Amino acid sequence: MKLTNVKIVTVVCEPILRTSIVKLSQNLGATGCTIWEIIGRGDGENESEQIPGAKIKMEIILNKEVAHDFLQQIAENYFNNYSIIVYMSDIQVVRPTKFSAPTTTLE
Amino acid sequence: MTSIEMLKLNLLSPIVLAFLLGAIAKLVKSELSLPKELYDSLSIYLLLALGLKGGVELSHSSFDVIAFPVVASVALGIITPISAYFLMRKIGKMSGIDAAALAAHYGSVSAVTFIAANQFVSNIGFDAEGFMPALVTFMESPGILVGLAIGAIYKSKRLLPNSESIIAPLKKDLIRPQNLNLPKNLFHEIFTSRSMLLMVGGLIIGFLGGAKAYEPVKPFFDTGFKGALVLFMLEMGIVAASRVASLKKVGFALTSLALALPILHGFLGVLFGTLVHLSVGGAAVLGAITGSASYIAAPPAVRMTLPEANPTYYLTASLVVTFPFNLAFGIPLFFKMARLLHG
Repeated sequence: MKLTNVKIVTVVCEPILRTSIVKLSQNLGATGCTIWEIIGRGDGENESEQIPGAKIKMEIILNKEVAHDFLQQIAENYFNNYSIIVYMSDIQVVRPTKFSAPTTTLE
Repeated sequence: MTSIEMLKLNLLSPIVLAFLLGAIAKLVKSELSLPKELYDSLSIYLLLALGLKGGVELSHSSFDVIAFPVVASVALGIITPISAYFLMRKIGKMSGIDAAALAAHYGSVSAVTFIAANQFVSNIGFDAEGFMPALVTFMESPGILVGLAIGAIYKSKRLLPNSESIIAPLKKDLIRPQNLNLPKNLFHEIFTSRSMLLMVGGLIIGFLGGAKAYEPVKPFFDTGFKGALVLFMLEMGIVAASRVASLKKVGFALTSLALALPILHGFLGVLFGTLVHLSVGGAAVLGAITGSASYIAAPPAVRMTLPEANPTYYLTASLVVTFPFNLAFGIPLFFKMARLLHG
């Protein structure tokens, strides 16, 4: 089976950022995302929620070039004022067109 | 009834004691907590019940009776964030952004404090006017909006030269997520918040149907109401106690202000309530609404609009200091004030 390399970006952040991060990813061609409500703690001193530690975890699959832009924009816009962690990993998918609005096939 | 008796009655009410139990559970590190879904469900139930009852009352109140209390509520919603801002700046020595964030919280209201106050006055035989829930909705939004507006003005005037360090420089060709938030999303956030939607929606449903249409659903919304509130308070106690450690970060000045503001604002509320001819119970409840600080509706709006403000300050002040203070001492105090002003 032919597999295609793409990136999966994981964002752990305050629930308040949910809508804007989803929009950001959509603007870069993401076609969907998976979101969990989670509880956790990090190095940050700022509790942002009524329920301490309440965060969301988002996973978004993007193609390589766009994934870097996505990380960069998140860093520029949210790192200063919000509790947020973002990282990305390499994954292989069967149907790359499913994860990218403007189709870009990568090998 | 003497003041001591009233205080005792309030402190020994299941509402206050359930809050205490929740707080103790957290402090002794019990694993007790309400499932988030139940907490959400209870708040939906309480807010909708509140709206429905208020709406039914509105349906048989005349315009003359409610017009002035509505005007008073909007006025209080505008005055209290301004007074909170100046006190936080001058006495609390808070930064402009933090003071504005706190102003939005103290300008807005706590629906739970309102419900507790309503229960208190009705327990001692001084029922407040039935349309009080409508007043809550009229005070809630102006409070948040004025607080956020102060923050926006402060930022544009004082922070512009240094804003580069706070808001990362953005490339023109990049999408700017802040633009997605402001100002359209802000209004959206405030007016479609759960509390607004349920209370205003409940008011409209209650108003349209009137007492007759409310009758079949009344057992569900009336009978369970006080019990649901007790359960809700249990979780509030847990949540508040889990933030107690933050009091150290908040400091003495802000803690003192978080005690002084409800008294000052509460007095204003009682005074305005008395001037617009609310009953003793109604004026006391308006005092409790005005003296309360938001911890559900305001935090997300503030976080979105004034992300530089430290959430530890506003959440701790409103949830750990002001809310329990009002619950235990503020409400009987506002009642006492209302009695005195009514002569």
